[in-house]
Amino acid sequence: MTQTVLEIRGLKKWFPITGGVLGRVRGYVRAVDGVDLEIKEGETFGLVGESGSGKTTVGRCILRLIEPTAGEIIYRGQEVTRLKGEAFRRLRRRFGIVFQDPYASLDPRQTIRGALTEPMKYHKIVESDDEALEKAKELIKRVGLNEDHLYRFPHEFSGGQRQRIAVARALTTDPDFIILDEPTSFLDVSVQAQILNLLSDLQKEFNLTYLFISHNLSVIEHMSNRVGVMYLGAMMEAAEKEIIYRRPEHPYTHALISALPIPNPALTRERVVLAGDIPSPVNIPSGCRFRTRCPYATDYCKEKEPSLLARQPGHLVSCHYELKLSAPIPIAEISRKA
Amino acid sequence: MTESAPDKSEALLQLSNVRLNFHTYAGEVKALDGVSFMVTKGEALGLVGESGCGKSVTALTIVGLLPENASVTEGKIILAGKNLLEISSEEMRKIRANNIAMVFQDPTTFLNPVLTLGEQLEEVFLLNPDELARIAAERKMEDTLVEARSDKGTQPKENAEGAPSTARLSKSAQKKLARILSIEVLKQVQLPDPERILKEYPHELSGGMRQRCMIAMALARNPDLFIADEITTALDVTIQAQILELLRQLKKELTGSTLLITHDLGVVAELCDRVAVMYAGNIVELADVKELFANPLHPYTQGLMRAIPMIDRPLERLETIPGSVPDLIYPPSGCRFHPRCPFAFEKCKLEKPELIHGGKAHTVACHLYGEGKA
Amino acid sequence: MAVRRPSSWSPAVAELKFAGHLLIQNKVVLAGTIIAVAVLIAAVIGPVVINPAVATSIYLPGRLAPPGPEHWLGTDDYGRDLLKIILLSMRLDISATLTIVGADLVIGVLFGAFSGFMGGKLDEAMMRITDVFFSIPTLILAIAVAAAIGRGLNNLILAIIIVGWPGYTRILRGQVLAEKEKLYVDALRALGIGRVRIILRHIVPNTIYPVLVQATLDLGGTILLFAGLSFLGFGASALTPELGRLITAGQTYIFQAPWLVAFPGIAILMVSLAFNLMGDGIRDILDPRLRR
Repeated sequence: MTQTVLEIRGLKKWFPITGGVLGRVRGYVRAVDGVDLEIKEGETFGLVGESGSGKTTVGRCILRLIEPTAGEIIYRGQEVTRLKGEAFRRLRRRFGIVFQDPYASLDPRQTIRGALTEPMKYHKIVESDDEALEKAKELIKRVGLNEDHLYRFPHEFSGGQRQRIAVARALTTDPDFIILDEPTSFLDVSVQAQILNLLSDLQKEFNLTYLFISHNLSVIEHMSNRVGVMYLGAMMEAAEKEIIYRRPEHPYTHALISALPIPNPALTRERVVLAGDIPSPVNIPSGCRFRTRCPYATDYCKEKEPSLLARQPGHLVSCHYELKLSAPIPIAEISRKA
Repeated sequence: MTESAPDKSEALLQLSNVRLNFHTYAGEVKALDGVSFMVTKGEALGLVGESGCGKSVTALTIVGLLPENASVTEGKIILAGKNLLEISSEEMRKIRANNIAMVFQDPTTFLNPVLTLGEQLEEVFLLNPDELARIAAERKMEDTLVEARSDKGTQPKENAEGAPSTARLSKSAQKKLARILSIEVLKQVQLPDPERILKEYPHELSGGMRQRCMIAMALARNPDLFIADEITTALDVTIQAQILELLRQLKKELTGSTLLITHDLGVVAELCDRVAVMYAGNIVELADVKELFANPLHPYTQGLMRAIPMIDRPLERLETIPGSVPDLIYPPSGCRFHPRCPFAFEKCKLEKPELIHGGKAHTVACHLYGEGKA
Repeated sequence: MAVRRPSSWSPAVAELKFAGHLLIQNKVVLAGTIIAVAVLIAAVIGPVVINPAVATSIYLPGRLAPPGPEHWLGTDDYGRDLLKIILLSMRLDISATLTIVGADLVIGVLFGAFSGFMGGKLDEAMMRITDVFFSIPTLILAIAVAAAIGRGLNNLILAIIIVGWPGYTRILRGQVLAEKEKLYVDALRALGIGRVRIILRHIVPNTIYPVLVQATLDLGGTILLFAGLSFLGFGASALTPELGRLITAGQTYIFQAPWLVAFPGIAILMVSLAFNLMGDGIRDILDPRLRR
């Protein structure tokens, strides 16, 4: 039985909106509004959603870059939501993160060597400068760059190279759980492929567990074992990847998957086009938050918010009704010469 | 080319060997290296490539909106019989007003934040009073547009050449008609409640709606050429789906040509008739969309298609194109792709390949397909 | 897309090179900077060549001599050669100014960085303190503090230091508020790196430019303040070679020996101007670079 590395229960993050002369709280941006998820050792959990879904905020809450408003974060069975001090510092070494923007995530005035050796020396993972340098050299080579890149500055590298450096930096504290927050969104397609391959290789080599956050459905499909679909701060559906992409049971998931343009002109896509825009997280619809765009919404959906329940083991859905697709969502058949 | 199908295979826009450099502090960036392609009337041509390949630069060159430090060193861009690179800025402005419309990736920077949508849309219509007069005549609306009291109604006017033009409407009549047309065009882009939207400011609308307004403004002039530069890239997936459906619909209804610039092969597959693939300032492959996807010839195109994660393909690893996009200040000699090409040989370093026929309606710039080297 | 430069320059070096490039293009600023540097070099080199004992070598028979072949600028009321005394004084004034601005930089930057980064009550308190300092005109505040501390050269320097740091704190705090929202700060926090280290090793180097520019602009004003307060009687004692003091002493003889007031005055003017031109030049060059 593989161990559960990370579990989140009822995570909420509400940002207060103050206004008026006295600075009273007028409302809340309910960025994360009650999220549960569970990630097992060695697997990649893909968290997918559009703007306002709260997926990035979930990642930040796990790392406590933002303090959660409510809920629990459990790491390997131990509750760590409000950990502080020395114990918290030690916990942070277990987690790593790679951010979306490779141009902003490195200190522009620090050499790569500095960026890699600093965490090691700060946490006293190494005993001397030389040892730190040796480890830095190993890491930089492992991510596909050269030793002499250590002596350069971030501005001298391309986006793809900077992401490699960011990955190397995440590994400096020997983490076992890494959050990947849209790591390839700013990169070109060909570079993206390189980074995704690197991440897969590293996962196997170091037995890493990933939380992969992205809005790009193709990338999530490629990288994940299990996928969770978020909308306006809550989880709509979570299941094994094949189910999400072929036989989803939540109308939002269905619309999302069918929205993907297929790179095959020979196929015509039967698409579910949702009406209207994504509501603002300040004004979340009553009852089921998806009802304003759901083609199947009823009055009951207006009154009561559905809970995230397991329909089959490992398949959680948050909807009052059952969506039965007449056929699995078609996969593109691309015939191409060898 | 047959003549029995009028306009079908007639070229609207023709680029020939366009070369463009940017002067920068670090050196000369050779951004466009002899770009040639054609857009026929009524077709949708996709221009595909990664960042830095020159696709946006090409569009800006066509429209004449390049920054100060850019200079076109060679080539022609022919539209409606004129070379856009040689005409005066006043003529270019007229062409931008009447013949070409361009929509960009980020509508926020291209919509005026202090004017309502209505004011901005109507402004587009009011740019062309002759056209308004023509529409009014066509729809027999002159009477309804004229106010009861002091309106002078239509006035005969002379146009620039001195010959009497069709009677122009009065200012207030023009505004009324502009408003009516604005509402129509907003309906055409499937925006709900157009009257309300006319009164709103850009920041009050969502990203998807702003993008639709941009498209509406572009279509308001019924342009011969509609250039869309990464218009769905910044949008959420479900909103992108809405825009794609809209564009599919509009393609059936409108007669103009479209130049669709994107890096997303899925969008290309859905909307385009033909596709041009760009790399480092060159067109490396050009074909019908079905042909391109079924049979990509250029190693870069092949690499690109294999690098994209696609839902049908349960691969452990994506295939990558080794290396990275070249520095255009010191581009590689010969074929600019040769340092990354798995099939490169001697000739590739020495000589830049020209676009040649590689199949039916399919051209490719690669020495692999030259005479005797299939 | 990064334009790769041929060699590996740190961002600071690259910026200096770019700044140098701009400097050479702007002829007026270049001229001003060259003059300024010349003046400062003379002021620094002079005293090395001249024996400081000149300050105390009183030779009353030769006092109040007008400028002539033996004493180029004349002599003061103690019979000291005015040129030598002025050069010695310039050195003292310049070093005092540099000390004051330097100390204020350090204090101001540390306070601003910690206050801005930590936020909360610390930041509130710091802002109120700086508000108090800003509500009183600098000169008056300086006089008040100097009077409270007492006379003497070092006390005057201390007084001006006390009065001067809030300006830098404000500037730096503003920069820090923006900088701490940047992504690399989150990355460092996620790695578990402590706040103190983030502030000192990362935030400060990235935000210090505008403060450095302000400091170079302040040099000119500071020397005026220092000489001015010395003139009023704070600070240096009678024999100490200091420009303000010289003017005080020269006041008495303004009709008999106007050069006693004129030449030190011109010297103050030149040093202040030199600092100002340099500061302006640096600001002009770095300004577009400051808009981060």
